[in-house]
Amino acid sequence: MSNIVNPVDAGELLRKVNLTVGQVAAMTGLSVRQISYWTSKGIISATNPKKRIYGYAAVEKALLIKRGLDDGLSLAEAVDEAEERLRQRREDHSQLGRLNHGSTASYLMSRLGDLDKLADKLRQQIQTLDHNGRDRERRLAVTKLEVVDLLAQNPYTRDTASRIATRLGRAIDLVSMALDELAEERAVEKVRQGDRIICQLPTRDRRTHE
Amino acid sequence: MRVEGWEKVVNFVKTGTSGLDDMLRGGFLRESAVLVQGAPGTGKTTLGLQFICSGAIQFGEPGLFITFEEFPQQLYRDAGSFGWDLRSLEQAGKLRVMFTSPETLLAELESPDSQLSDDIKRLRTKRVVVDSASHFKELTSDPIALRHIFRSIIGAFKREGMTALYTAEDYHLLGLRQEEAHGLAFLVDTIVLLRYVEIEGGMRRAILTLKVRGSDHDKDIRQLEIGPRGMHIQSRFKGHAGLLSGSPYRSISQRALEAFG
Repeated sequence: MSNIVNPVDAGELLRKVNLTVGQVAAMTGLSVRQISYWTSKGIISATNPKKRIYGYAAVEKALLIKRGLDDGLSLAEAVDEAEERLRQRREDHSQLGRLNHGSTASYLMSRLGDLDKLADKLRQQIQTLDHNGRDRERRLAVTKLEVVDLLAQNPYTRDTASRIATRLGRAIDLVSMALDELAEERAVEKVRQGDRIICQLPTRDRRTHE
Repeated sequence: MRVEGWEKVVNFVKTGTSGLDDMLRGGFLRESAVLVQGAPGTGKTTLGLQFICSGAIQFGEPGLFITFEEFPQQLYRDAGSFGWDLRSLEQAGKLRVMFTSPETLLAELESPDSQLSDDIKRLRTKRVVVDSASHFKELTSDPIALRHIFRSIIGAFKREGMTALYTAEDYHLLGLRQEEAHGLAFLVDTIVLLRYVEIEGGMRRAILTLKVRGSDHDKDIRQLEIGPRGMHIQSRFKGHAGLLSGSPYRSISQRALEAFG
């Protein structure tokens, strides 16, 4: 994610890279035949198999496998080692994410996109319920949408269900039900603090603590 | 009198409001508790925003803005009109605008493994604004219990090494009757008073520092302006007396000057 610290996100750009099989061969030093063979065996995957277009992840994995082969490993061993290293890196990244203060914010920001999608879904649902005239379900959907909107606009809201109900000017039982459903859908996280249950947007680090 | 090298001996935190640092002979005392009291619209929240934003942008001190009543979305917008992009600061890990209630804040501060404790440690926050401390009155009607709550909140932020600014509401727009903040005034290190005063048919904002524990401060009542780039402090009100009453009159010396000058 780009922000005022990193105006251009290289990782995001790399994810958009599309390469032909020839380009992958040039970048990795492998032959086109080897790449095609590995693809057919499911060792690396093309983003568009028909046109033989590969993403950055395939280049990365292919390079790691080649390094293993150059070190004298068999293909199966080299693949195992490459996958282990990639898995290790994913873990390191999430570890880093927990330590790095900025990442909670960017994690939350990525969640805000999910909230937008959820809000769209709820809006559609409300429209269909309108036609069917199912009052109770509609009331709940409207309240859920209002909660989602409140959290999207004010991402560091952390409060009890009753306080959130007051913010929205809605009945507590309705807001509680909406929060329960949103928690089931993992759009909201509930954290016990003393004798209170605090509702908030999910935070990655909290989940790893538990 | 200003002692040479004074600012080096006492560790000050810049307030971000031009003129206020001078009134306080350098700024707020580091890790102290500051009470900013005033009627609605006198500029308490703006002063708080300025304190937090200047810390995050200019002084490398990440901040926490805790709001009980005003929605953060409104704060994002208001701050934007002064040129501060709170959302970008949040994304960069320099700020958190937390929307919560007094009881939730208290519970989170009391617990060492709360989300708030995590945030404070991870962001290394050095400044906090609690807007407004008047809302703690909702928790109890017992003044002794309330004082205990205030002491606990103030202690918690000092424990975390943060300089804390608490706003408190005065419900009377004008005049001397000041809302009793239930002992908060006794517990804080610094009191900044914001007031409306009526001068020559117009309303002005006034600022005064009342108490600064362990430090010298300006005793003048000064004029406060909120402009397009935030809040700044102007000259003192010359030639007027009775400013704190809200309806000042020309001082005797001023009238004498006018009569004979």
